[in-house]
Amino acid sequence: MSKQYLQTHTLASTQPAADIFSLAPTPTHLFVGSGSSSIKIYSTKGQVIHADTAADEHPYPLAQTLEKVHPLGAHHVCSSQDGKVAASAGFGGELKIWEISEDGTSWSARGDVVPQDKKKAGESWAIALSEDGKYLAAATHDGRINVYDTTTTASAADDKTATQRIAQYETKGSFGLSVDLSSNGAMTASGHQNGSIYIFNNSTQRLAHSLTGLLKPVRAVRFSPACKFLAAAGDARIIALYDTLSGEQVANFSGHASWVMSLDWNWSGEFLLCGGYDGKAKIWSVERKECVATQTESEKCLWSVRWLPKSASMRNETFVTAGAGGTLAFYREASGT
Amino acid sequence: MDLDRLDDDITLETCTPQITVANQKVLDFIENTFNNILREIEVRPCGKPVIVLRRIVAVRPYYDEADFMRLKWHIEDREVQYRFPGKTDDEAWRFSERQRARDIYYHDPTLFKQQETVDRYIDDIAHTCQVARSDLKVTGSPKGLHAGLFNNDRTDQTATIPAVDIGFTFSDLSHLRWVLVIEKEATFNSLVERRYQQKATIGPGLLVTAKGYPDLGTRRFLRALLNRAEPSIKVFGLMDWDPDGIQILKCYRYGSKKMAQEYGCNIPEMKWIGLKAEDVTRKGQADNASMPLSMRDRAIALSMLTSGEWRDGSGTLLPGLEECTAELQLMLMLNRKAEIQILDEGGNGLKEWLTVRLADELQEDRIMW
Repeated sequence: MSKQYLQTHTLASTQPAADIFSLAPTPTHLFVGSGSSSIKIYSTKGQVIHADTAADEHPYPLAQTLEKVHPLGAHHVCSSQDGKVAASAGFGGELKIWEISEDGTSWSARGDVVPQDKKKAGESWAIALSEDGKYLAAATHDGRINVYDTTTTASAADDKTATQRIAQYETKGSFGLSVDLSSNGAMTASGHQNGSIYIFNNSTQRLAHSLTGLLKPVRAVRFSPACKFLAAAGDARIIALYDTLSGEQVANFSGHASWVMSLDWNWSGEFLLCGGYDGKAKIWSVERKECVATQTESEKCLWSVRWLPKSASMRNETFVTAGAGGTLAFYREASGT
Repeated sequence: MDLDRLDDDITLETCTPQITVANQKVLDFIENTFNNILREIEVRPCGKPVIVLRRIVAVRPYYDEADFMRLKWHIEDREVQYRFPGKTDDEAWRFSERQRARDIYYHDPTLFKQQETVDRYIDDIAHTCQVARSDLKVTGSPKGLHAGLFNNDRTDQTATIPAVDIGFTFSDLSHLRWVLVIEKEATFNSLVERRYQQKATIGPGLLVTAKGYPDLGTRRFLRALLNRAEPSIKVFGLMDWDPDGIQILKCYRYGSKKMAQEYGCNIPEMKWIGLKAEDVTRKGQADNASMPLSMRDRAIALSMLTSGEWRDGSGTLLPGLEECTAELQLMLMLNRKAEIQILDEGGNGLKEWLTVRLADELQEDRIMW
């Protein structure tokens, strides 16, 4: 039995078209990191589809633009599950923390993550925030994962105080392409250029598992909502599922014809959404271990795919895809499936 | 600096060899410097003889509103002082004959220690005197090769790029339909072996390679040829898909900081036909074809993204560099690179790929009619 999804909206990028490299949804907004120097934040509340006014027709208006915050572009953005904190990483190596206002309508800068010793810390690449936004994990070009306390960031441009680092996990030195923090705060996972995947225990700060199976660059790692599984995928074109307690590989989903760039669990942990270099977004049923839907907006690479957090006003699940060409495409599950 | 004596285009006729206005500027500078040194040496108790040069630190492009919006370069420089006692490098200042920079180095390798040192001093002296390198009568060893320049059937088609001085003329160029500049010598040879410059279905053309980063000789040759060609010929660049390849393309198009005086050789109209990400991934064996970027690659890519030489006064990227920026970001995201050789994996791959690409580009022109 397959699921049906309909494309509900597309937001084409305005000139100059910059590739979108990363998406980070919160219950109220959607952060978009791209090759341009500004970060755009869209509003995701109010999913009115049958509208009375023209304004309501478009449920994802641009709410805010963080102007020129990353001069060379932003390659990763992430958000905390509670929707109060977000982070962005730029090509120039900058790491910025953002927080939402009291009334939940606008975002402002909390500060920059400034490492104690930049050389020793390494160049940050992939990032992930803990559930409450207190911790930021950043994987580096030489395979280390630094975990910072986001409440100790430098707030002014000339503030030289270093951000407090809670932990540093060292691996075998291969480029850290992806990182994730489990929602219960217990584990950190990382995926690397040489195909290695690691799970670290945050309380003991030691390596818990070194996972095998994907021999090529691992571009996405994500813990399931209940933290029971870790999904990982990349240039090997298959999605591997691991049990986080035992480290055993429990499943393998193959079907993608090209590199897998991004993946995301839905709120219930039943479905995995994956985006590929060939522009195809696939949805996998974890229980039945098969692909239940494929969506293609274009042949352009999908850098990031994300489910929008489930809200009371949203009866059907919605996900968004973005990539080369800068178009945001929203899909909603067709009613009755 | 007091070198404003001669401004007109008068050539001083002395005995052979001829000395141009620019040559005279240099001679004056040397004379003044030496006179100052001699004066300082005579000072008691101690004088402070010094040679002062100016070194280019950065270049920033801008459009000159007062001059038909021509693209020009702000040059930022700083003073470099050489004090002594210590031997000076006056060995380099010989004007009776042209010297190769390499020869200058070999006059006293222990003094200069590295070729780069000689190159740097020559660039500094040229910039200080506000002249071009060639006005110091210093030339580089010819590095580049070309094939297809002559419209005949000679067996050895490849020749070294000649020095394009005053008095150099091109033979008949009317047979050329295109000019292709190739990064790697190996690719150049591979195409010449198959007589691509003569036998391509798109018509005869000129193949050129500077064996990597372009030297002044190759850039001058290309610029002079393109200026001379009537009707104009399209020029294309074929580089590896890696940060160095993009740096080389930029160098052909807009020059480099070190040789900022030489913008007469820029080829901003060079079209970038490859290699690009789509060529690598289209093959289907992208995994084997591409390699991960090294840290040096990533550093070079980043320095290009931050480079002030890529943007004009208002912060806009120079024409043609937007695609380079996007391609650099893509390389950094994928953490991959690939060489032109991958096109040849299937035997005739390179020739076919090239013909399709060039035909596409050349066709565009005709459709415009």
